[in-house]
Amino acid sequence: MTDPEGVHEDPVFGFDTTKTPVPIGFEAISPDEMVPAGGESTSTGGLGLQIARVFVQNKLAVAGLIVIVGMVLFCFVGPFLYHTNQTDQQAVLNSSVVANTGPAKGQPLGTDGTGFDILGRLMYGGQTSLIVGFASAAVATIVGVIYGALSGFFGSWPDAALMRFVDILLSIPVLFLLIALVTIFHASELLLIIVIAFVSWLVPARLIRGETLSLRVREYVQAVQVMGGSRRRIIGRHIIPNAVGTIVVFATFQVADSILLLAALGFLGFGVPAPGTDWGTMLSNGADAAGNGWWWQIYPAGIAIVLVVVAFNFVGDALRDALEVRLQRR
Amino acid sequence: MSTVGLIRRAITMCIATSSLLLGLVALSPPSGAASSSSTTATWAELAQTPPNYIFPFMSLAFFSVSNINQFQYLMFRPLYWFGQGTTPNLNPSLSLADEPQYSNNDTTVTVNLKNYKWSNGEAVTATDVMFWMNMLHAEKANWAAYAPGGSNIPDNVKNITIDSPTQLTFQLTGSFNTYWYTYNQLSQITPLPLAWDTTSATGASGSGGCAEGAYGTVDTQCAAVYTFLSNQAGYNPSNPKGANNSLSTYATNPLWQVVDGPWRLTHFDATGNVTMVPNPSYSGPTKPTLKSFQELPYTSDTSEYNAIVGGKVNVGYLPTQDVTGSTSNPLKAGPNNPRLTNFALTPLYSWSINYFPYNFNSTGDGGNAGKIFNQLYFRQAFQYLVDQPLYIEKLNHGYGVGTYGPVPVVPQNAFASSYEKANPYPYNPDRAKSLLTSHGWKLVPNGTSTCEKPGSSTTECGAGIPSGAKLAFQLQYATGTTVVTNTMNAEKSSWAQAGINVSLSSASFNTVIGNATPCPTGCSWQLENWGAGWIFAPDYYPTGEEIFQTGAGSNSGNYSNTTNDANIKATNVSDQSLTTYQNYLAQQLPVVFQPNYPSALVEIQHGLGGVTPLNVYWQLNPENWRWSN
Repeated sequence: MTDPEGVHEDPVFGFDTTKTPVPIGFEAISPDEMVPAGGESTSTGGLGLQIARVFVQNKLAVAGLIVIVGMVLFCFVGPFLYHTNQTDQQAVLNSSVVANTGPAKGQPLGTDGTGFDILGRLMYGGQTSLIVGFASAAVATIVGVIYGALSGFFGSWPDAALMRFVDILLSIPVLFLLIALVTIFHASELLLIIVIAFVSWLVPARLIRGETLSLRVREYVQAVQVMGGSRRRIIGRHIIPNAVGTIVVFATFQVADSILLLAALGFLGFGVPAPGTDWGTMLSNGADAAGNGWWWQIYPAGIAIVLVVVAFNFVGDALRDALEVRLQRR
Repeated sequence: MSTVGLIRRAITMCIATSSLLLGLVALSPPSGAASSSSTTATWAELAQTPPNYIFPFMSLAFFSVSNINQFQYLMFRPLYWFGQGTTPNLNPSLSLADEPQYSNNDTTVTVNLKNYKWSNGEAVTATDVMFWMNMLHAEKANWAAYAPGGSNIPDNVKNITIDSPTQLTFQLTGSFNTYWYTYNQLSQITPLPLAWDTTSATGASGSGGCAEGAYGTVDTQCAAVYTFLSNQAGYNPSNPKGANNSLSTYATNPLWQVVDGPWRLTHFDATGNVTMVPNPSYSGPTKPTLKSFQELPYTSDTSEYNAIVGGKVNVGYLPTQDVTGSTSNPLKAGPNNPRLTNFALTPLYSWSINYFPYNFNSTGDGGNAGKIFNQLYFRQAFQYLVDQPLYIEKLNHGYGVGTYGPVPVVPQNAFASSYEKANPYPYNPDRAKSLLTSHGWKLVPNGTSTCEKPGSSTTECGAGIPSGAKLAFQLQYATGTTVVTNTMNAEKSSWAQAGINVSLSSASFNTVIGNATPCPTGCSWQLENWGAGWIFAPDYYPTGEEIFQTGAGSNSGNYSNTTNDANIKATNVSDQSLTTYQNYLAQQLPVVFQPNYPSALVEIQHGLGGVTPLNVYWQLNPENWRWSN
């Protein structure tokens, strides 16, 4: 937890270690003789180290992180090592590639209905899914955090008005809203980022608003107010940084949710327009093709979605544990 | 781990499991045994093309096969029926009248009606034909098949007299090609019941004054009747782009219950669900045996295919992406999908050509689109980059024939010329690039080429095209049919080779044809592809006056060429063959010719007879359908 106004924090007592602590009601004793009420103190390292330690203790989270890093490398570095044409349909048709061919030498995951190499398409579609997932999660988190912090900090009627607006938007079915927006504005990568963020910022707004309601009455916030600190400084330097745990955990889960939302849109035919693709679109095409025995068109995208979403969830769970002060070793 | 975390993880696992199950379900053994009932039959509409208009007198925005041939004609029969067996010929047995008799050097036509009845008990009489002709005289601008210029119906009709309740005589303004006059002029007529001759819901039959007036003398009355009937059908002539709010009334409005066809509407909704029952008064040669006939709408060909496999459709179609084996002969069925063992596959080639229009009056692309489209060299370059044989082979498993001109090549006929069949513009990217560079364009492959030599000379971009003008266009195509989407994607990448940057967007079929309407004074759309080109109906003789003549109601792209107009007129007024006309347009490229894929790879459930031979105009005759058990 960040201290108020730059006072150095002690891992045990939480105040300035340059001064000798003097327990109230007792005679002065040397620091060496001080023993906290909870037992003997041991050094646990810095905050980051503590978080990392808790995180790595969660084996699933480590596996999840490896999957995420691996998938990012697969999608963004893979195309440099495994060259395929994923944009020029005319060139693919002009080549000797045959559509709906099963896995074979040179095409380890086969081809789809128009002759595109599925391994290459998995990388290409993965780029879209990950970019949209990360970007929309980032936008949703930033917007939601600012909105929620403002709402919670000001309270009273602004809070009521801002939260009712959130309630109204939350009452609209997400998928319906997404489909309507994508239909009106015609899908593109940028538009998908915007519309997914548009339906995703509501939850962090409520979370951060609740967190702010709690934080704004803390002593260090009141101290800043007494000292004449501006509202901007209070929100920017004291409230939001102290809610960072909630924010990080939400953002992690939101990436997974955004990837799933994009997959749902793609599956319903509202993904990025061809020749672009995303995993949901591949899954949709593959679901139909698999019925005709072309199984290789459904599993790669399906497995990729499941792996990445599960990985983000594992990482999110572990981050929540790591950032939860009460669960940290002391 | 927190409760929320556990729930989230459980959800994730459910998703994972569902995905794997999805795969397993998809790999399940073939089904496709459609449920059958001896009393009903279901037919799948083409994806995203539900019928959306019931009044047979309509403008181009509603002038579609799904509205006319697959919906209205089941209830309201045209004067002459076309399509006999697998030929595009006149079918006398299903026509309301005997074949027309020409006399006086082909300036007089006599039409004798057969003994048909309306469902309200009245006879189909010469007055009902006059009702249509009077309405056409008054509202020809709102009739999609109208072609201006004075030599087309109704302008070529000097007078019509009713000789008896079953006989009319048309006095023409001159001598015409009789084959053309029957196939392209009289073919447009659909007799209208006297009950529709009204201007209010409570008005008496004939109170509108349009049907019983002498030919061409009751324009005012007919205009009022037209407005009333259009509004009843949900179309407001004074607000053509307004939403149709009357779709839900189609099955209940008493007007539309007066039919002379074999079927009567009992259910209709805006999504395209249609249910019809037999008209007990039908006077035609074959009475329905089914108790009801249903048309089912689908949002995509994938969902339609799933419905066939799931047993919900008796007559449907096989989407291209579900064709598991190519055909060696485009006119014959290849191997059927193994999941549809209970169905027979039959490719249906309509009497059609496939194309999409340039808007020659387009104000898009910074105001330059129309000017660029007017350049023949550009259209040639554009066409050189459309590789029709490749798309037919690779994207449609060998099903399809090329469209290289304005006359259909299938079903086989004597009209198509050797020049057209030979493909004047075979795929040739180098030739396309050289055409652009030799006309002053700075080529930017996979980018956007720009004009660097404005001017009108033969080495410059063309009249009105400024320096810096871009070859960047918007193309909207109809969704729902995968092969259309795939073809558009392939063509987009092909055009990109020459720096022609085409941005694709998609919309429903009805939206696309609603957008692709003529605009003599200019409008913004540039390229619109509804995916089906033109089925030659009701212009069954493919002389093109309805789609390529200057000002024609279905000339979507506002194409105008005096030589072409003269060529068309020559085929209308004399026995001149179509060769001159079609060779000129095959060279001039008034539209972007596209592969003519089968209208449908029709799947017919075993046990349901009478569906074949399929009508080449894609007209439905479920009155012929019989369950064998």
